[in-house]
Amino acid sequence: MTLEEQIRLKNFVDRDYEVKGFSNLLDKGDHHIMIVCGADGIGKTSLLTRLVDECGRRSRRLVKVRYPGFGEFDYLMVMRQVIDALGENYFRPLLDLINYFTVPDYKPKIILELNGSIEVAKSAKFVNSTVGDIIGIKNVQLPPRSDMRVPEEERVIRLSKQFFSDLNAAVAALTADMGNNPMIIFVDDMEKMTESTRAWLWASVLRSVLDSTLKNVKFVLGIHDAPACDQFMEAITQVARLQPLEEGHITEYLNKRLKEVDQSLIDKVVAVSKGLPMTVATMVDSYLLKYPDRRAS
Amino acid sequence: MNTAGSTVEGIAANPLGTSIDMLCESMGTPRGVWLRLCAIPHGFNISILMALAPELGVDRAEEECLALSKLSIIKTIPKNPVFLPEKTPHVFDPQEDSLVIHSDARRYLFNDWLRKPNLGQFELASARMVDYYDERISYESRVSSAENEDLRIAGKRSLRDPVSRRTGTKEIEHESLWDQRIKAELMFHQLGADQGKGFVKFEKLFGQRRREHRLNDCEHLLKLVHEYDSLLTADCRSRLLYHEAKLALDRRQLISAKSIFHRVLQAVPSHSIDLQVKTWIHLGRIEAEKQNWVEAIVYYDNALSMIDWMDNPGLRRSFTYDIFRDLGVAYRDSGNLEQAEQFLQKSINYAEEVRSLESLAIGYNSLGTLYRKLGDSERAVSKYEKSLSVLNQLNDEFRPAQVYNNIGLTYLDQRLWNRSVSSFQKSLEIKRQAGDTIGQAKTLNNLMQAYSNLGKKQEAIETAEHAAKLFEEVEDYYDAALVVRNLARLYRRTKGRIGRVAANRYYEEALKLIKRSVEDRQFERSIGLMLEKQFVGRKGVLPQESRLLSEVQSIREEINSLNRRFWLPWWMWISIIALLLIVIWFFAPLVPRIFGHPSPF
Repeated sequence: MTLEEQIRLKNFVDRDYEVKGFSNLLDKGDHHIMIVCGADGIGKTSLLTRLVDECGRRSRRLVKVRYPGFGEFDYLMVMRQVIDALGENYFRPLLDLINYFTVPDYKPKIILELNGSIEVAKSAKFVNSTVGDIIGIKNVQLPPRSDMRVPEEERVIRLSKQFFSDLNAAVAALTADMGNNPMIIFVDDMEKMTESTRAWLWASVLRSVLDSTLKNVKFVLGIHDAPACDQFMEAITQVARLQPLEEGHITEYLNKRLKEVDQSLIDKVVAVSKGLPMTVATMVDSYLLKYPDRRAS
Repeated sequence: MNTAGSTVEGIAANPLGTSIDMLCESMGTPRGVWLRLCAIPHGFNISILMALAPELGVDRAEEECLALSKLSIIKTIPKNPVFLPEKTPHVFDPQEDSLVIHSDARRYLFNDWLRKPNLGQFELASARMVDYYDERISYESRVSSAENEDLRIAGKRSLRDPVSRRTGTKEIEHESLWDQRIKAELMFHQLGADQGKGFVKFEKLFGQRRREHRLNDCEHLLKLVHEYDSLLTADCRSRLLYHEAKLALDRRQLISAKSIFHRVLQAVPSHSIDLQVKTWIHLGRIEAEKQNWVEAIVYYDNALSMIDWMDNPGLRRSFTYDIFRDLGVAYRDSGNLEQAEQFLQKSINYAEEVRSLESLAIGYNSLGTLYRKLGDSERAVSKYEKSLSVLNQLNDEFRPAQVYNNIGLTYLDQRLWNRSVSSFQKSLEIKRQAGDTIGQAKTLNNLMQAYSNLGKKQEAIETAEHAAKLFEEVEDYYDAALVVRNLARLYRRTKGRIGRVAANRYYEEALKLIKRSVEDRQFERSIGLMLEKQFVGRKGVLPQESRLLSEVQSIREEINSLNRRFWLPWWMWISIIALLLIVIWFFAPLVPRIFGHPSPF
């Protein structure tokens, strides 16, 4: 956890209703997806940090996926962060497939562990392939190989299938030693994804939950606007629409960061910030720059 | 610097903007200015801050970065987030980590820079960022070539070799990620420093990434250029729209592409003739893909009518043979074969004149298909072979697959089954090497017909099963269903109970696949993707739900006809026999000699 996340947690106020909703998501089986939505600066990332902390308190395994700060935030970046968090060993078939799509002359490889008589890959056709080790790759953002011409649409479909299949195996292995409690995948900053990646993620997550291809995983998605849902999806989705902070919570926040808080300051912050947490925090920053001695210990 | 705080109506009403202005004011000069400068790039660190504010030394820049990292609107991006310790907090490390301004805060500050009074300073800061990234690229290429040299001496594989890059350390991996980001950032700042030059850079990068089929990256580049929306000239805006439309085309979102191309026509300055011509051509191609030939021809004619206004003779010629070829194909596929031949021949003549091998290869292939339609198979094969020889000169590895497939189809027309098998196999091999799954599936479907005609039933079945599997692999359930239906028909031709059972099984499988295709479409619509309306398949307009349902109906009819028995139930037989006996009994007196009755006459 970064210091910034720790500070966010320390100064966190309000959102009891949303945290309670998240606890229900963890404890009960009705909902599989929690969508945290709201305008920019409303505190989605702070709430997600609080929910991550809640997972930590309950010793739940989790994965955090977030915008890397700058550059592309596409489906490969999402996969990369999950691979990094859970370990490459679980994603060898996916890495092999990525190699196949990006490394010239790369031949897909399979490792066979035979125990008795089994029927291997009944309908598969292997052409010019050899059996051996898989090259572990880490950079999943290299250009597609020049000696092949696989349309992006096909690459996305095949990589997604493999990704969710590997993720399922990883989740099964990793949650077994933690009382089979579901793993939580947090995806923040969805609005910063490219449009196609957002659609891909939303469709893949919903599909994997609806047709149970991904078991024992729950998702928390931080996004500007809640995506469209039909009645089936509503049944498995919990939406937390964040509202601006009320005066009481703003006061609580000011008291956490400042030594002496008078009513005129509260009134000014409430009037200017309109309850937007990012604005409140920025106003406190500027206040502290002017009056550094007012910083709470 | 002029701040936006109270001067611009609307911005003052933005609470975050007001608080940022207050923050900058509290920071005073020059700190507030440095914060504003840091909003120009998408992220910053010591060296970027030093590039933006050359008056800062290393120590001072480090100090400032540390101070900025403590603000609520600034996020720390650790160099290696994966390796962060679980419990102990990671404190911003100025030597390693980067900082980013919260996206809304950055957007506010960036838009403020784009206001007229601040433009001069903004261009200067952008130029500094261009120099910074230019230096960085040349430094990293020097490092990379030095490393390559070391590795060469050590007899190891070059770092430029992607395999060894991937097996290398984390540092190497991050560098290659950086390479890509640096290029995008360089383009972004070039746009700020000099829009003309920057836009040329954008188009180059965009084209390169489109050629590499990195459409997500293209989307990201478009997003970067859109940050300058309020500054873009009319020419750049229309060209940007044009690239957006091309990206939609690459994603086969034809409706969206068409609408954007129309916006291009509205936005394009009248002097940009080449952009107008290109746009008309693309609009024509969209209509052609949807098999709206009349509209397609109108659009191509519009493009043709503007050609003479173009200044660049080379460009004029290349557009001319492209339009002639497109017109030829539109006339050919709409059934006007005579006119099609004229246009295609004209296109070939033009392409020969300017030695455009690529257009020549495409032209011969189109002409071959025309002769196939005319039933002149020999001429068709000869044109296809000419296309192959030109593609060979071009060292084109992939396109011969399509031409071999067409030759195979021509041999099928000629009932030369063995030759068609051989051509399809050549096509298949190339598509397999290229990893073109859908292409393979289509050729396998054709190959199945050749095997079936040769009487090689087992090969035909295996081939069709393989084709269906490939279609399913890429989630093209509709085409998979059609192949499975063909498989059912193949079994249906086999007389006997086994054939009937297998045919029934495959018909049912085809129904399941179509159902899945319908479900997929309904699911996509329900989550607001609207792909059904936008997406047009490679085979033309992708079937809508109604068309899918009519396919279901036709398969059901085939199942019914397969299972229809002409055997009547036992009680019907008894009724018929009884009826016959009554008829005989009734008419027996009329033919006494037969039944031995005495004649009534």
